[in-house]
Amino acid sequence: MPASSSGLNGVTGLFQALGRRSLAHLDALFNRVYGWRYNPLYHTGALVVGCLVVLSVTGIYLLLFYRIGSPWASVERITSQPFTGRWIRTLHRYVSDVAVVAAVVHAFRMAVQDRAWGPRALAWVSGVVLFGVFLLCGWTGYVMVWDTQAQMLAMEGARLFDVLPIFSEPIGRTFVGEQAMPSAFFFTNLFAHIAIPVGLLLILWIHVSRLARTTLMPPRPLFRGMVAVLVVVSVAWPARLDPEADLLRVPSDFGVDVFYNFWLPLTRGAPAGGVWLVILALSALALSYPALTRRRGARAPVPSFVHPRHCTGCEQCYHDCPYEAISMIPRDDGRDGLVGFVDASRCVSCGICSGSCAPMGVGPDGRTGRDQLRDVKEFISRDAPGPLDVVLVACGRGAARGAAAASATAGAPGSFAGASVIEVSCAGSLHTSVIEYLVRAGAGGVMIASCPPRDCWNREGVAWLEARVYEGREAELQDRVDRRRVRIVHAAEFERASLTADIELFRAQVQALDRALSEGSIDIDTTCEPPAVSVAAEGL
Amino acid sequence: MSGRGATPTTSARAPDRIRAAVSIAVSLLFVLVIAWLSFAPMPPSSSDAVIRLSWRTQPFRLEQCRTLSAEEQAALAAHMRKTEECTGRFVDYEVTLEVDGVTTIDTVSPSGARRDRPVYVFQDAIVEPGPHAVAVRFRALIGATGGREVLDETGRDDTGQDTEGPAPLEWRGSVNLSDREIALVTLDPTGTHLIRFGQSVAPSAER
Repeated sequence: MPASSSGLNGVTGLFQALGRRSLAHLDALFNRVYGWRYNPLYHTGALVVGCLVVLSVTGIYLLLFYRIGSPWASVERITSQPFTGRWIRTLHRYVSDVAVVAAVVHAFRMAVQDRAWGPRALAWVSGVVLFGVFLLCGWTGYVMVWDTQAQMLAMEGARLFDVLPIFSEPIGRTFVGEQAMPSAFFFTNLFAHIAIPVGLLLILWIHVSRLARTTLMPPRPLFRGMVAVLVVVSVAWPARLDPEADLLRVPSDFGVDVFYNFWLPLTRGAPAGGVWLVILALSALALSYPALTRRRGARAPVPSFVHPRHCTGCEQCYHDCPYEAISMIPRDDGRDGLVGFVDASRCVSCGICSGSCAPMGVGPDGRTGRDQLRDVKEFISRDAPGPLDVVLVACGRGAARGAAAASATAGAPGSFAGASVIEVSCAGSLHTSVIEYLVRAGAGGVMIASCPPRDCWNREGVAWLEARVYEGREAELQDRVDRRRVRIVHAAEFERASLTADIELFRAQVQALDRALSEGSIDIDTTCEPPAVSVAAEGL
Repeated sequence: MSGRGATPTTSARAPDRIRAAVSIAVSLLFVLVIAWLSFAPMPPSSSDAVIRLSWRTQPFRLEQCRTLSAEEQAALAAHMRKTEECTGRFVDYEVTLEVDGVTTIDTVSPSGARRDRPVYVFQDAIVEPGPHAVAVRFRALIGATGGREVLDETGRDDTGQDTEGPAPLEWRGSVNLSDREIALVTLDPTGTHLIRFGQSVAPSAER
């Protein structure tokens, strides 16, 4: 039974429950529109990086025409060029907005899916810092234009910083208009706007440092589609240029970019000290989220453990771990070779290593391959499946979430759409011996319902499962198992109707197969060639 | 059926072309919303004008010196001997702004942790657009107890010592401000007079 995802604090637990539910509904809706493979909600982190690439390219181009001596005039010249300037400037702006949206959705997903604490805390904290630095970079970008919005941003920012004991003189005096704006100001601003993205790369490296096989870019069709749509809108709805800044007039009648400058209408007129208190409070709350959601005591997940007696040193768990929590170390029991070692500080207890180990020598306590076999034996003893029955092995975070517990009785396991349910913490933790055992025990078919691959809470669970079932990846499903009796489907939490339809279709196929076998009218080939395309190969 | 091992079969999902068209339409709508939010109108501010005071000046140092006796000088190391010993402080300033007879008084102190850096005056007064009578006065606060006593007409502080402080700076005038116009009162380039620096067009940036 997968561990509950609520945190220590009841408020954060409620936030996670409500947030996860709303996000899951949105995921299901977007899956209907985009399909799970190109659902942008599953690629938010990679989309931010993709946006950074586009911003770098368009930014370097715009830099060729920007002049620190006449900032507004140079931007006006760029904007006046419809083919070589305006749409590129607009694209730069809209892509930066999309990056903020993608980053917020990405953070929200990680927060409500309980993926911010423990070994993932470094990624969360670095992500919060990344976001803050990103907003700062956007601030400098808007100031570069030196229009009325820029004037307001600069003056309001100066007002906030003047209350801090940092500068030797009020920097707000830079913007009173008694002397011309020094070019040094625009140079410093431009330098910051270029230097900050370089710093972003360093923080991004930290952000993904504890992940194996990081996917930094979204799938090409999604990326190209995103850029194409943004280009079309950039051409059709170009960014306007507000009037030039006038330091002897209070700015008015300008548009505010909600994504970067949402704070401007809120802080105007508010005491600077109060604004800083709010900023500090929100930052502290964001940075302390891992501590607030950390599971403690009995609810703390148990890290995986390698049983040296069973470990053969094949290194498969080391290769499969999505968090690089397993290393191979020399044995100390007199045997030759290496033995696996789990770094508990990096282990999130996903259990994927359980599914990777043929001798079933590694995994979290209670979820190793041996534990899974014991559980399935008990499952069969309670309700042995028949030749026309489909057994559903469901990821505890997918469409059949909670189905086992909700419908189980004292004498029978839970069910979903007429199929008996075995729930696992992650589809990637399923040992293929369980599938074989169910088929040999008489089940007509075994369907594994996983989350969509890019929404796997443990990143690579679905990819490894499919590789083990269809591509011979250790611990592979043996060839003697009839693949026609095995299905892997992807169904997000609220795609229950889709999963129900899949189960019914598979049941009909199993029944047809059974009829054909009983009639003896066809020559059975019990081995199938795996399809050519794999999830892992697509980099998903 | 999505996933591996599925037999190709008719699906209840929309054909791929329809899905592609819908996804493009949804994406366009999404980006259009983003584009609209990228230029969200700023909530309108009032049409009030501003009288802004902004200048920088070196603070006056009020010192009290005494001559060291021969014995005191002899007690000092040879390289540190001096004939006078002075103690002092940089004085505070009083900024008085009078707009149509309504007076506000602020005190500004030298900046820095040791209060030995320039004095910065930087404050705004919000007024309604239209004509206003404005008077600005800037004078040093000199007194032995360090705060609020004003140098008297003879230039002596309350210790009775003659202290010649800086002459107060004053500016009087009438301003006729349009909506959101900022009337800037500052020091002239010589730093000896207060002037109004009011322009309707901002000066261009340095080249």
